[in-house]
Amino acid sequence: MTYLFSMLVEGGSIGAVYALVALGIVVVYKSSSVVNFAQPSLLMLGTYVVASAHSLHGLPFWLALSLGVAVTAALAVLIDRVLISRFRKTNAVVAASIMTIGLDIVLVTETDRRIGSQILTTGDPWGNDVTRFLGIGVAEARIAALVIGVLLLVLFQLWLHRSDFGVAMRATAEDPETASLMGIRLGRVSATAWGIAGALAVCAGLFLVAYPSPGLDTSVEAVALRALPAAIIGGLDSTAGAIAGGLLVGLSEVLVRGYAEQLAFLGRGFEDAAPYVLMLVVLLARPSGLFGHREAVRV
Amino acid sequence: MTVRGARLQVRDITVRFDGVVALDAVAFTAEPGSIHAVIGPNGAGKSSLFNVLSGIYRPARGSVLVDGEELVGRAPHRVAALGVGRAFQNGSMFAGLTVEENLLLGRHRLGRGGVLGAGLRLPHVRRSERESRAKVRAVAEFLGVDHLLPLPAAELPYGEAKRVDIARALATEPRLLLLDEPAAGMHTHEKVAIRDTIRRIAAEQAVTVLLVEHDMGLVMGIAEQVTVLDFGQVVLTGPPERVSTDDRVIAAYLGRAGAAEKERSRSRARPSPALEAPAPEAFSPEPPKP
Amino acid sequence: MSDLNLSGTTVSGLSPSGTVASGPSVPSVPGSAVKGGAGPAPGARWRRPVAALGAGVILFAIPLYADRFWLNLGAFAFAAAVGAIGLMILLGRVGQLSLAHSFFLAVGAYGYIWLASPASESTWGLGLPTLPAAVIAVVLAGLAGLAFSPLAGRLKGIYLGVASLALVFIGQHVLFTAEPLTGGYNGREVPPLTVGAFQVLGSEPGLSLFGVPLRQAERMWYTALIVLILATVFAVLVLRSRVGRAFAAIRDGEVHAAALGVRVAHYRSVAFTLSSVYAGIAGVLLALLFQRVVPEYWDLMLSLEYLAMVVIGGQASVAGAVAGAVFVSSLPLLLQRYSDLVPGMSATSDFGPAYVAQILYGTLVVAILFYEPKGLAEVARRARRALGGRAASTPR
Repeated sequence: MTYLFSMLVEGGSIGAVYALVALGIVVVYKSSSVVNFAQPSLLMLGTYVVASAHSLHGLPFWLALSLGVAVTAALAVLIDRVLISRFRKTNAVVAASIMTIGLDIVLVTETDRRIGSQILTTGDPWGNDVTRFLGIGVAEARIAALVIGVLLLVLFQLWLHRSDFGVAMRATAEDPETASLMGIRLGRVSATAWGIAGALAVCAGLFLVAYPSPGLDTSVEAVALRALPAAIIGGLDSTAGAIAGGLLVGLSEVLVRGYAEQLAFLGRGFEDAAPYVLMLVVLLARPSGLFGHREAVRV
Repeated sequence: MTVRGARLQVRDITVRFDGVVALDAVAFTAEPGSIHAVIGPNGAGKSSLFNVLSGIYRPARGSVLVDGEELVGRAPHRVAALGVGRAFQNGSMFAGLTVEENLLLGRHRLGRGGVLGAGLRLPHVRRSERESRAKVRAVAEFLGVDHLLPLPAAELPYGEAKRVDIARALATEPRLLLLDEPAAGMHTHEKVAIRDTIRRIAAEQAVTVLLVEHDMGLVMGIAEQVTVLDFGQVVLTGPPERVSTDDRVIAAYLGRAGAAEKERSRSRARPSPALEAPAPEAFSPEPPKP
Repeated sequence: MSDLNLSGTTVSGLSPSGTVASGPSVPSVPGSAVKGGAGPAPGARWRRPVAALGAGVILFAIPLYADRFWLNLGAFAFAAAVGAIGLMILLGRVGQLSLAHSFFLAVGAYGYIWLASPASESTWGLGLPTLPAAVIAVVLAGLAGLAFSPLAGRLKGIYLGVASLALVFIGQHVLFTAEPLTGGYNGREVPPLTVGAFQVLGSEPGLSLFGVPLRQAERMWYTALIVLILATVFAVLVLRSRVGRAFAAIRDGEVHAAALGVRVAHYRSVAFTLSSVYAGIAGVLLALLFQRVVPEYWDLMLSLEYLAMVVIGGQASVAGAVAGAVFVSSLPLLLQRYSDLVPGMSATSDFGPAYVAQILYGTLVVAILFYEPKGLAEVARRARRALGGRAASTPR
């Protein structure tokens, strides 16, 4: 029982991290109908900036983090302004999404080359300690991820529901033409969304490479990619769905790993495929995801 | 086999979107081979009605019979298989194809051949393709668009695209032809041509024409029966003479339309609360014939 | 000599399919094309078959002059081109994205290995004759695609793209864990294709053409080339047909297509199945060319490479897909061979050929979508026009 409980805490904490990344994907989708396949590469790049600023250039953690967030958010805004905005007029969302795949290839290839065979650490303040928490041993970094992740998610949801940006984003998702007629500047909404997505990716990346994972290496990209099934499971157009999807993906992965012995018939390392299997199951039952809306038909 | 097109019976059709009632117990009957028009101000529910009739919207209640066969609940492609052809409001073409290929898509449901048949050029597929091309040419000639066949559809001017769209719907060999505002956005002389075309279609093809239209002049000139919609309800169904002199219709539609001819395209104000639409059952269309 | 052959390989690689492939978008009724005045000039009627024939002759003659390196490069490019045509049909003609192409390539490859290899203590195998094994492997890939129809028919565009990611990761998991099937990390030998005593991809019995012995490299070239030509013709015929029109209609307006009687979900899954059959063919060819296959090859990056081929080729053109495939699959091999000619690049540093190739085609995907979404197909069309070949305009 305590074992299951510790799995749940672990899954919840990693799930909160996936939720942050997935939220970036959903925010971009809602404000521009583009599926941002480059989100994992933004995570890689941002985390690399933080880690290299810290371990190679000796910057203190908070400074390195600020630098990473700033660089990644700026790059994301630039991508939107220079590249993605071109497709807005023609509404060529498939082309725009495929372009993000091209970007992902370039960014990941370059980040991977820079990382090489190193394992970089970000110098995060959570350290490598394990603490007792309700009778189970949990890495402090995991607790930090859970607490800070949930805090960020809650604050973000509140902000989305109160802020002008949140209103503009939802109006755009509903009907871009009408939103534009009502004076909402679609370009600005989209750029803001991209900036937020970039910043969220770095925050999430920080936790992905914290203890108990050894640090940033080239394998983190495959982990970050699980934000895509998370976003789809929840429903691409639902921020609450991103959170639910992130948690489900985190739990599925941790539970499958935790009960590997009982699941031996599925083969070793099935946890890497589990989030995707979960996605297929959800899509078969609900093609728009758990919280997603069906696309309205307009003739 | 009907020779004169299908009888369309619309009964009690109700459509709601998020609690808003778009169509409220709409009922009327279009006789085989007739030209039946549905008119009404913007937002009266004409488009919703057409989307129900082509299977795109599923009504909350009601039934639509095409020669006695239920249409409600069928997916759009199965509605097309019932013999319902539709031309769209803006004459939308498949932009990546030629005009001929667009018309051939009208023949899609009547043609034969899957991937293997096409890739291996099996005889029955080639025969079907030859027949389709001949039929398409005949339809194009009938509507006077045969000279456009080799052109890329994306390059058609608006007026031509609307004619090709009608030809494409006709190529499906429909028993019921739905024309969604065929004269919208056209010049006066084009409207005359469209009116003649619709008359010829009804006269020479075995098809019932159901027409949604804004332009009262066009409707009064060709329709045998007119159904007036307002606020999603049927105000009245009757022959044009009766409709155009009916007080309720004049109040709900013609009055405003006549007074604000130029405003028509911009915005159409909702009728004033005083002009409450009458209860549908009081003005229900003629009872369905056996 | 090798420089001469380089141009020979790539240029002729484009032209034959270019001539065959522009068909679907050009009006294909002979009479109407001429009548409307929009058709090609009188001489143009012959230009296309003559160009195709010329290109064919060149392609068939190349093994008489080129060395192993170029023949290998060509054979791999042809195999990739078959796979790229399949993905092009799905993405460019139906508007559906799939990132699962590497999965279906793998089904073809491992399907063939499983069917054609004899069983041993540690590995599974049916030991079938190799030619039927190859055919059945392709059918298996098609069935795998068909099995995905509940999603391939319902999900649209990019959504399908993300959903199809699942197949890649499930595939990778199976490839690494199902050791009796795949040999695990170390991979598994691919039985060579033989028909009776004739080694389709070997050197026995000895054959020669104009005094040039047809050994393994030559036979690989011819086999892949012939398969590619057949696959191209089949694709062009399908795309020109009722099925191809239904595809394009779904891409351009699915609601309108449905109102005309097109079964949208059905044709979406047909296209997905067809594309997985093409991937299966390419997978079998690749396995035969590799002679030994390892699981890590069939990963997400491979899917992205095929996507890059299709995008670089212009998404909707058979010729473009072939050109894109030739480009993307040759690039790393050429960079490898000529690494000393590129300043700063070397096979040993981290600026290796693989790195440079990935950066190049990633950038190309972005640049092409930005500047010319119709890709190489459009570039070639403009070039033909500039050279005076009054080719009819080819809208998508």
